[in-house]
Amino acid sequence: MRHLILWFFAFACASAVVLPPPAHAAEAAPEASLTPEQIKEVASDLVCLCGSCPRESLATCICTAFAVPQREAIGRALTAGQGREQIVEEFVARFGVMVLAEPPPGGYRLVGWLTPAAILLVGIVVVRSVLVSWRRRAPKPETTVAPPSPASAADRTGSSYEEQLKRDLDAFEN
Amino acid sequence: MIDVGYFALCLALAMAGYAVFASILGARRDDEGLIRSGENAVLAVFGLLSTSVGSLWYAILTHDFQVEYVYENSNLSMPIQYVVASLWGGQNGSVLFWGWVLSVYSSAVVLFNRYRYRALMPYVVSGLAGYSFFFCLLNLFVTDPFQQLPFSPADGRGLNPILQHPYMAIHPPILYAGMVGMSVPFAFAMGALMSGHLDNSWLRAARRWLLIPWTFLGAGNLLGGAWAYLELGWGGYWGWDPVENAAFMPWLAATALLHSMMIQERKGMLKVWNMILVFFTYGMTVFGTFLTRSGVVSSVHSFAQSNVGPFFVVFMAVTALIAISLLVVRLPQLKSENHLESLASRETAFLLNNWILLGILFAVLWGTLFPVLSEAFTGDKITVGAPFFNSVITPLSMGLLLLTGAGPLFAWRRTSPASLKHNFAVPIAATAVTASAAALLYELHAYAIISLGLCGFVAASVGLEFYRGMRSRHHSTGESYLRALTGLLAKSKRRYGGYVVHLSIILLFVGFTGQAFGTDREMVLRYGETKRIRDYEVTFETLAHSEEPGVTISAAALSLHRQGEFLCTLLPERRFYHSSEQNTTEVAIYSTFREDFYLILVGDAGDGSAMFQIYLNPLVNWVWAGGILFVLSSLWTMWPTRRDRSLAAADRASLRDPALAIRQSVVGSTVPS
Repeated sequence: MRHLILWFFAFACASAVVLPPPAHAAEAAPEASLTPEQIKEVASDLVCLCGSCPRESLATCICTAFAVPQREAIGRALTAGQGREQIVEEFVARFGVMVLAEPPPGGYRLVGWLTPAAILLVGIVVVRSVLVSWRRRAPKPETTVAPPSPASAADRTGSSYEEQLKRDLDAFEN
Repeated sequence: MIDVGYFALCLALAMAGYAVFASILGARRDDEGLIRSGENAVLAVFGLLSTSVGSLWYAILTHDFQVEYVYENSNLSMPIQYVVASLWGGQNGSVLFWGWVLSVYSSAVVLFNRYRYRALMPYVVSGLAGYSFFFCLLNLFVTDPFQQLPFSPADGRGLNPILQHPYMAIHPPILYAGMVGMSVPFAFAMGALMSGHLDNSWLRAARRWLLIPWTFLGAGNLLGGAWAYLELGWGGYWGWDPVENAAFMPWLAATALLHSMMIQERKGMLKVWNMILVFFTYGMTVFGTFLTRSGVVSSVHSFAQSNVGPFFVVFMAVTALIAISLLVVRLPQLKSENHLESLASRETAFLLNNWILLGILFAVLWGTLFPVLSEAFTGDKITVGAPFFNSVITPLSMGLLLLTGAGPLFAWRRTSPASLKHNFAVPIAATAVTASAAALLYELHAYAIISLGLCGFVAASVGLEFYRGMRSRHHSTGESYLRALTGLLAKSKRRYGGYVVHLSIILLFVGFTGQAFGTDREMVLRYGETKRIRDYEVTFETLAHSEEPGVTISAAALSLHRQGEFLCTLLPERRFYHSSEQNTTEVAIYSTFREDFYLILVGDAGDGSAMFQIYLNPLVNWVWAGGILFVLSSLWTMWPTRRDRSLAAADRASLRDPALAIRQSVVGSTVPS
């Protein structure tokens, strides 16, 4: 079980670190023929500030007041040869950091990401200490484990599963 | 007529105050008459608030625009169903309606427990009446829906047009029923702490009363998603808007509670934790209401904001103070009765389940509050949008799926290594099969492969439980497998109904996974022009305008083909509402279980061309199917069993000799459990 927990924890951490977030796409290289996808890639870093939507992604908002003209502006900037980072920086300069879909890089992004991780870590430490205290409360004879208990030895067979199920259901029905 | 409503509201405030006072005094003096009087006052609050709501409804339906709320939220040209729904379409009316829903719950609690949980009931009643008192106070002094204008306008301003949608008409009441109902389990927990009857009887009552709002809250969130998908026109159903999060967080807390309650019921462990979790679940509903209505966060739901923030802060602080000090006083009586025999047990799985559900909750809470904190402490206005939530929540929800599948494979108390191997074999094989099928069939993102693989894992683990239960019944009763299945579902509603709820969660996750590989395209089409999107061909046939009372409509007609085969005609609309000067979209969707072809009319250039936004959204129907199964299976799980019915019959019988019944059931029911 310890292994399982460890394995699960490792898996969760690894997937958070290794796998790229689903909403993100690869870096766009400015090319001569501009596709809508290239514009959307840049726009997905930004949010719409029209005021009538809940700061939706600039890549998907359909308001004609802000999103559509700003996407056109991104298109023009891309054709002019500007890179993704440069365009995003210009947006930040014009509209402030609130135009960024994620907290701005540096301290903000670090705090933004580390807090949920820290909460999870605290949580697992608490769970572990609860489990340890529950184990410690075990009466002496049971802690000296040697022979498998009849229940665990028997539950390999079908008939004991039936008994177990019956016990479970009897105990558990409302 | 409107004065009747106001007067009833004033009386309701007095009655709620009296109910708190009478119940507590009755319990202290052990005066049954006073306790009953408190309970009757709760029924009176229901009657009075019904009168109040009825009178506001009457004003709305008769278009009495002198009433400010009616003027602000309805007008003569609105269809009747939205006129009816405007009762909860604005802040003041929805607070009144909220209070009324609370009075329905409180009265139901009183009526169902006339002869049960007698030691707890006075405190339960005082808690619920105290909450009612708070809402009446809000309605009278901050959000008065009965305020009148000095003159009578000819027409009203109308309900916000984006709310004029069938799902939006029913989404708020269902969500309110979920948010408000969480106060009942909290009241039972407080009842247990105040009365000192800390055995499991409060837990049994709380569990039953938790399932109802939990189902409502889940359904309300999904209805909100369906509304956003059809009405807001951005191609998705969940945008991590602060208000969506506010309704999602209590659901997560309640889900954790539903699981951890089982450990206390079976093993007498986690008593303190369950108390904290009940507090927290209720606290999240109040906090969520505060977030939505105080204007602390900027949100799509800003139509329901006003100056109620400080009242909520005081209410939350007082409630938290009372709850925590009671818990501290009773701590010595909340000792665990059992010990953990093995780490490889259902108990451990449930603890991890609580850990990950609360991990998700805190991540959502953090993402919601981070901009508020940042602005408060540094003055920087930042945005925490969907990319943040998606990248934090996705790995966590994969962990949750893994536990959903693994939990049932562990036995209570201990599971031997041999039976673990035996139990995990089929689900692991199923994971491998679904993951490789997903990887082969589509060129998917890694997350999508993991997610679909884990869906296979959970499905197999639930299937295995059903198969073993069926086989067991088949052997013991000789029933056919099909009869054994219906027998299991009928007899053990809680266990097998719960597994069906898990299946509905899988359907939801299959749908969520679709979000990872959708595509979208913006395009300008001229009349008669055809363009290809993947294997679809879409032809812009025509565009028409029409004037209807209060609204200008532009509607386009497009025909949709796939590989030469005609699929359907799509009719997206764009509407302009004159009174509110607001544009809305009506999307057109060609929907199958494989994917949705989702089309929005962005704008009409006026020169025979128009701009469209098209989304190919895979697997969205799985979400709706999962939602329907979630509601049905939750209802099935809480539907009364034969034992419940016999218990109710015993309660009815005891009506003939109430004195005896009360003596028999100081705590708990008349039937020993």
